[in-house]
Amino acid sequence: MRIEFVRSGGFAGISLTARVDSEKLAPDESATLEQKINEAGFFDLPGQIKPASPGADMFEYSVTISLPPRTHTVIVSETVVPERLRPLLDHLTNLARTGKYR
Amino acid sequence: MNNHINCLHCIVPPHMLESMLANGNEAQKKVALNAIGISGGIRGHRQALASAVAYLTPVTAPGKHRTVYTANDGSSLPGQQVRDEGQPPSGDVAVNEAYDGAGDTYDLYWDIYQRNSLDGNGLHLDSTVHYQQNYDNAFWNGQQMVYGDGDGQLFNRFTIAVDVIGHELTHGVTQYMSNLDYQGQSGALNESFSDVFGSLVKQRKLNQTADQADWLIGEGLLTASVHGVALRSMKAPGTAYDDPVLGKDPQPADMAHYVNTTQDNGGVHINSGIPNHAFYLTAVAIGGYAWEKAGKIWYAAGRDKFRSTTDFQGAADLTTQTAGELFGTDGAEQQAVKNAWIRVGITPGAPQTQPQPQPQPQPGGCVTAPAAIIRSLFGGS
Ligand SMILES: [Zn+2]
Ligand SMILES: [Zn+2]
Repeated sequence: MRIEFVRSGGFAGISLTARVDSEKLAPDESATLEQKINEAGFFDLPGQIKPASPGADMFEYSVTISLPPRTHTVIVSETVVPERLRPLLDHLTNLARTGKYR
Repeated sequence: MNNHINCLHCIVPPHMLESMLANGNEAQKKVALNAIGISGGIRGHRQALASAVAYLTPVTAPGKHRTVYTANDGSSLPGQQVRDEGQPPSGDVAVNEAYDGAGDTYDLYWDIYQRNSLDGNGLHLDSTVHYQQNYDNAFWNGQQMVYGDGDGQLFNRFTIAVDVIGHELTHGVTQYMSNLDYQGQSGALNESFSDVFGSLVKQRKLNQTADQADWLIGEGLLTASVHGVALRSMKAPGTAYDDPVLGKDPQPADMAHYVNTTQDNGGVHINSGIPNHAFYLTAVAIGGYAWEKAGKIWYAAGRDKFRSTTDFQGAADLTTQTAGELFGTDGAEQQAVKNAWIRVGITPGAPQTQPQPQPQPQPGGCVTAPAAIIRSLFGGS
């Protein structure tokens, strides 16, 4: 499984990125991620989730997950993140913050 | 409620108001004084009316109404109200900064551009502080401002810089004017408008001329552990920070370094460096206070000429055209605007013949039914 995570936008316009390859993760790390992906129903989410009122300076998340045979990308603005997706985004944001997955 | 009175300043010439004072009945005098009081600071006619000072009632801006809420580190908006217009300062610095910064921004738009709040019609200014925990951002959600406390490692609280507050509120102004699409070049223009007027709020608060100002966006926002002075520099885009963790300020100063990207809605916070720098060059070339001429040109172009799809070329064309209309064709101001755009790599063209946008309501609704009001004031009909 491969994950590409980007949080872009925000007032600062500074992107936060993470590239995760499950083969390089510890087994328990990998299992945690897969559980959050399942709980998010990730592969059933729409590709774009945007707010009705666009606003400005909000973070935008782009997550692409390849879990053969499926590959799916979800782009979502921070104010309209579905509840079930939030734990996965928080987890990936924390991984990106460590700077180990660029 | 007071729309008809408030709107007098922009439809009734000062000499007419003075005649209303001299010859009108009590009610007419009060109306005239009210109108003059509102516009007096900018038009300088108050002195002439000293003899009538007995009639003057305290004059406040017609639509300044600020409310600050706290999200208490959660995500619910607007959250719990902590300070409303006219209430004394709170013990919470973020609350007071959000309140004062919204006031400074309101005052720039009202005092200088005669715009009554974001929508031109006294829209209340709602702000929420303490949004989420360690939240490194501030945003405009289409209805209100939202400020995080920062993580403390890289970012301080986002209310710390008054230009950040002016930036967020200007997103509201843009939404009610051109509504520039928040994508690609129109999105970068939207961002640039917020930086321009955010910086002008700060410059006016500090009483700085264009050559005295630092032209930084978000000064004080980065903690002492970050290598950087701010998040953006309009004077020297690309030089605001260079840090091992945050990376380097990616802003270009000209079209030769335009960044093509799909992130950040097509780099709206990156390519805004180009129009930002064009504004800076214009303001410095004109000299004096940047809000007086350069700001007026940008504001009028944004209000009357920009559309949701205006791109950099369109902005160059329309600000150049506006400068000619406001200060004379081929005057120093128009030359300054033209040269500024050329220096960032865009040559302003001939005036565009695109369809004009719908007239925008002025403070208090200038475009509606003034004639009947004037007639009734003078006892006609
Ligand atoms: Zn912005
Ligand atoms: Zn009016």
